[in-house]
Amino acid sequence: MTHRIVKFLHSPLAIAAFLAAGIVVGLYAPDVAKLLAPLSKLYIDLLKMVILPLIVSSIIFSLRSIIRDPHAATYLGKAVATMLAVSAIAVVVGLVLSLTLRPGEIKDAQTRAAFGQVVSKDSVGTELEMNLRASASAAAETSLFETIVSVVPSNIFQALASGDTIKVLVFALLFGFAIGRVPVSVSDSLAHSLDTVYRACIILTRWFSLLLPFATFAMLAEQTATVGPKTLLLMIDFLITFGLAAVVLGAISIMAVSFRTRRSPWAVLRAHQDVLFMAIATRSSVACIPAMIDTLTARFGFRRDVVELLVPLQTAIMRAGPVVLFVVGPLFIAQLYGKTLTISDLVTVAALAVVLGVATAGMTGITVVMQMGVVCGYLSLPFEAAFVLFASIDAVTDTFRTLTLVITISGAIAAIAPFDPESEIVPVEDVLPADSVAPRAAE
Amino acid sequence: MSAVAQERRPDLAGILERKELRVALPRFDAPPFFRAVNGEFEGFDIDIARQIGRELNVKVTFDRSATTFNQVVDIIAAGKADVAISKLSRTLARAQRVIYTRPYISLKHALALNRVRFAEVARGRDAQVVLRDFNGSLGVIAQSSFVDFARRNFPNAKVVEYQDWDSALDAVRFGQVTAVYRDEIEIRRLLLDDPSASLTLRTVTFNDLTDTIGMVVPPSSPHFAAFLDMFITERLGVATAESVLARYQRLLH
Repeated sequence: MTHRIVKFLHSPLAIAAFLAAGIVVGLYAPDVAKLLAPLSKLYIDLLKMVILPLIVSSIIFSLRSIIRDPHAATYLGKAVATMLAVSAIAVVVGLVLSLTLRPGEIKDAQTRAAFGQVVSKDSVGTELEMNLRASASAAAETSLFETIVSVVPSNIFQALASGDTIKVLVFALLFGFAIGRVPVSVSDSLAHSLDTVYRACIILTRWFSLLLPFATFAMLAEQTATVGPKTLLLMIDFLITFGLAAVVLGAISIMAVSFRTRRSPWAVLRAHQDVLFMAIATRSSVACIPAMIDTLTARFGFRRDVVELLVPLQTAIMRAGPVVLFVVGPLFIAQLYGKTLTISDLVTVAALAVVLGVATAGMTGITVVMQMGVVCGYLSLPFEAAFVLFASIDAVTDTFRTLTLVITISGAIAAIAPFDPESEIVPVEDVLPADSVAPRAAE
Repeated sequence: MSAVAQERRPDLAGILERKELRVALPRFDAPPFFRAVNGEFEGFDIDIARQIGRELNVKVTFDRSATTFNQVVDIIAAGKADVAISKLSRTLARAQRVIYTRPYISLKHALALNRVRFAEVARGRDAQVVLRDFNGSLGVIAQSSFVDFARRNFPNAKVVEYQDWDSALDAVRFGQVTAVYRDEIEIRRLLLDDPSASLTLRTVTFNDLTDTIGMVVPPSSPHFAAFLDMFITERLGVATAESVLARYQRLLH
């Protein structure tokens, strides 16, 4: 009986019903939707609880075995290459869609007035209070370079305690390489311990994914209620442009996986169901790491040790979602204020978008949007007013960004990871079994 | 202007003898301080003038012949009116010709920035840093105290003088100047009257630049000036922008 309920909840029909229900409740019963907010927060916390033990155990463990693989260096090289390729594609898609659809061009005076009304509600963006003759101790803004350099943790336990995923990632990578040098007989017991931790985390993730339909419902309801239909309609052109970019990138990624695994695109999409809905429910690509690893290994049969290394790595460096934002956003602002951008401006946008995408690794939500100010500064575009507009719809934009991130990461890894000929593939119609986790590839 | 020799006693004694207080103000409206609606005067400054009239038990008449703030000062300097209570900023230049009372309103200086033009001047730098050494174009009302304030506080800016406030506002809305400079009530009114303008305009208020507003009497009226000083201390206090705006929200619309 429970098995049939679980199987039903896993079907596309049920998922679509929960999605629709979430949006409907958010639109027509916003108070109920806001009551559900603690539930979605609980779900995100459950998933995040698992991430750090999983990343540490999986990376260290997988590096230990990958080092013995003669192709190890090529995986990393290909990872960086796919990151550059995907970023370039994301930039091109963003530019083409923004320049053809022109979301920021508002001809209607009433719409411009409505934009102004939204902006005026935020006093920080509108009214600045300052002293003309203050002492010259202006707040030192951390430069881009400093942000990138600060990813190395000085204290790993502090990084673990504060949940700084990128710092933990850097530690796990370096530590994993070092453990690879320790003789196998000595490091074996650690390897078994890490394996236990890892399998336990995967089992936890599979249990949690049973709750996915409810979590998605709660998250969508809350987001729809918070953003409100009026603001959504106002920024609809921007959202359509961004959404189309996400769809294009998603389609390319699905085709890549489909081509590599010789499965139909529909089967590929279905196999990614858990990951995609987790992206909607959590709006955090890092929270989806365990599910991404599980999908690529259990559903497609890629080699576990390579996937365990590449998924966290690509999550950190391949930032297609933010890259699209840093292209579509500034172009929207330029169109809004009627400024035409030259070819050199567009090149600047493209370069900055890729760099900022990497720099925002580990950042979520509105802090990512704030980085758009850097691009606007280089283009001499005003940012504060538009920021209020973007902040009002960030729930939706963040969802699109996270979806783009997880699907492109999956596609990129499918392009480079080797298969494990001995792995048992779980069909897409079945739920991943929560009582057994497949063994790793032979060491 | 012919100097009419009148048999008038100067100063407070003259006002009490004639039983009339002649109040000078400019011809244009400046809500919430003073404006004429259907021939009736109303506003923050108008209320104060009437309150003084009641205190002295005299009739209050309004002289609107001046077309600019500076011309109001001219009229008082020539003794053609007894007092001017019309949002007059206290400047040293004017104080050489007339007597100022102590301040009865204290307003901060403020700017309204055209967002696009300012972004071009700022080039990604922090707004506060840019404003401390502002070298864009700055619109002010001609023959107002803010011409002096602009030259003193923003020495590197290009100061552009406009005949009236509406011309200055149009200029900043359409990007002909980067910013306009006036007191915080006028600047904040811009966005209160038209919230949708927030897309194009942004306001900046300076906590350390104040525009003190005082009443003005002829140099021959030191007694009246002293009386008004005491009146301000006892009856009015120093109003701030918030209290003026709060009391006269309805007057703005």
